[in-house]
Amino acid sequence: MEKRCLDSGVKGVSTGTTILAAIFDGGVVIGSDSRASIGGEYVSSKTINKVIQVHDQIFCCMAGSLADAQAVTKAAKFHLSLHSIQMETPPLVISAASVLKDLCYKNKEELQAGFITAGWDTKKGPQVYVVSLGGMLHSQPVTIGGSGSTYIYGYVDAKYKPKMSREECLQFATNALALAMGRDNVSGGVAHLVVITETGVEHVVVPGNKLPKFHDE
Amino acid sequence: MSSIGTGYDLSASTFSPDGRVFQVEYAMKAVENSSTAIGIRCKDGIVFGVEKLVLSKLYEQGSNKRIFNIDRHVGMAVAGLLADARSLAEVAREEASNFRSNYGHDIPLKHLSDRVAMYVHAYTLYSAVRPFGCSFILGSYDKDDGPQLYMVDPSGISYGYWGCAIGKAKQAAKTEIEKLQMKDMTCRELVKEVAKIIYIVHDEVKDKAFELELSWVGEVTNGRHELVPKDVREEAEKYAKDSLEEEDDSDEDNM
Repeated sequence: MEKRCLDSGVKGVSTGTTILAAIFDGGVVIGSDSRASIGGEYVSSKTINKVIQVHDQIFCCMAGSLADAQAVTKAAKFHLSLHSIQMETPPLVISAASVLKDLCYKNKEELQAGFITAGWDTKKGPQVYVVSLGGMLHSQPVTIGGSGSTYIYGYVDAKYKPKMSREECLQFATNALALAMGRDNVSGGVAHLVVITETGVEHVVVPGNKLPKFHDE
Repeated sequence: MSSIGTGYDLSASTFSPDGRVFQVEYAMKAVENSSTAIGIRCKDGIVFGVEKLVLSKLYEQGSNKRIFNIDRHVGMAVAGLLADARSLAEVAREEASNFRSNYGHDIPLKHLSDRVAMYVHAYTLYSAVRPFGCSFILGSYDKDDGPQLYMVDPSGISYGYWGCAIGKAKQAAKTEIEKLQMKDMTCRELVKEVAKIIYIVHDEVKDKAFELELSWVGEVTNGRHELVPKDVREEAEKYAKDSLEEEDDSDEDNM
C-alpha cells in the first residue's frame, strides 16, 4: 500500500508503459505495449491501445496517467482537425506536437502526461517529437518512453541506425518492445506498431506469444 | 463624380436601398487619397515599392515608413490613413507571433491574410466603430511554398495577386504592371522595374518631392523581408530616372 501511495504521489513518475518511435528511410515507426495497470499490482487491461491517431498521418503514444493522456489527445485531435480545415492543408507534425506541448505546459499543475508524436508531412517528411511531462518539446530521430524504457536504453543506443529500411526498423522496434515488456512488470500484452510513410499508414500487431524471444525465456 | 448616400451613409451598420455600405466605400476613398504603393511577385520573391510623398524638408530621411515587417518572412506595404495602417500592422504581427507559438512554424501567408482580413471586416459591421481607412499588400517567401502576395482592402476582402497597386495612381500603376512578364523575372530585375513604375506614376505637378521606399523578400534575401540595400536601391533609382529621360527624349524626336 505504502509503495503505491509513494509512486502515485511523486510527480514525474511514469506509470506502466513502454512506448517508442523511430525514423527510418522514408517513414517512421511508432509503437507501444498494451498493458494498463493500477498501482503496479493489478492489470486493469491487457489490450489497451496507447497509439492514438491525431490526424491522417500523425500518431501519438501516451505515457503517464492514461486518463490525463486520453483527455489531452482528444483535445489535440479536435484542435488539429479545425486547424487543418482552416489551413486547407494537412497539419505539419510539428504543429501536432506543439498543440500537445501547449496543453501539457499550460496545465502542468493538474496533468501527468507525456507523449511521443510521430508522423509524416510534405514539408519535412518523417519526424519524431517528444513532449515530456512538464511540456518540453524536442525533436529526435529515435526516442523511448514510459517505465519500461529504462530497460532498453542500451539496446536502442546500440542497435538504432539512421536510414534503416522499413523491415529493419520494424524488427528493431519489435525487439525493443519485447525486451522492455520482458523485464518491466507493468508493461506487457501485445506490441502495437504503426508504420507511417508518404503513401499511408499501416498497423502491425504482434501478439504476446509471437514476440521475439531472448535467451532468458 | 460619386453618388451621395444621403441618410444611408451615417454608419457602417446601414445598407443603402441599392445594397451598398457607404461607409466602407468612403473608407476606400481615403485610400485613394494616399500616395501609391505597389507589390509584385516574381519567380523567386516579392518586391514592394512605395511612393512616399515628402511634405516637409524638415523630415528626417527614412522616417515615416510605409513598409512594415510583420514576421521574419512577411512584409506589408500600406496606403491610406497611416495610423490605421500601423495598428493593423500590430494586429498582423500578433497573429503571426501567436501562430508560431501555437503551431511551431511560420504562418502561411494565405492564413495570415485571411485572419487580418477577418479583423478588418469586423469593423465594417457596427455603427459604434468606423471601418479602417487603409489597404495593404502582404508579401512573403518560403522555400517550399514560394513567393506569395495578398492584398486586403477596407471591406475585408483579400485576394492573391501576381502584381497589385493601391493609392492614388493605382490605375496607372496597374497598367504598367500588366506590361511586365513577372513570372519570368528574378527579384534583382524586378526591383529596377518597380522603381521605374513608381517614378512613372508619380505626378510631378501635383506632388513635389518624394522618397522611394523599396523592400524585398525572396531567395535573394534567404527568405527574410528587408529594405533593399543602399547600392541596389541607388542602381534601381538610376535605372528608373534614365528610363524616364529616354521616354522624354523619344517624345521630342517624334515631334
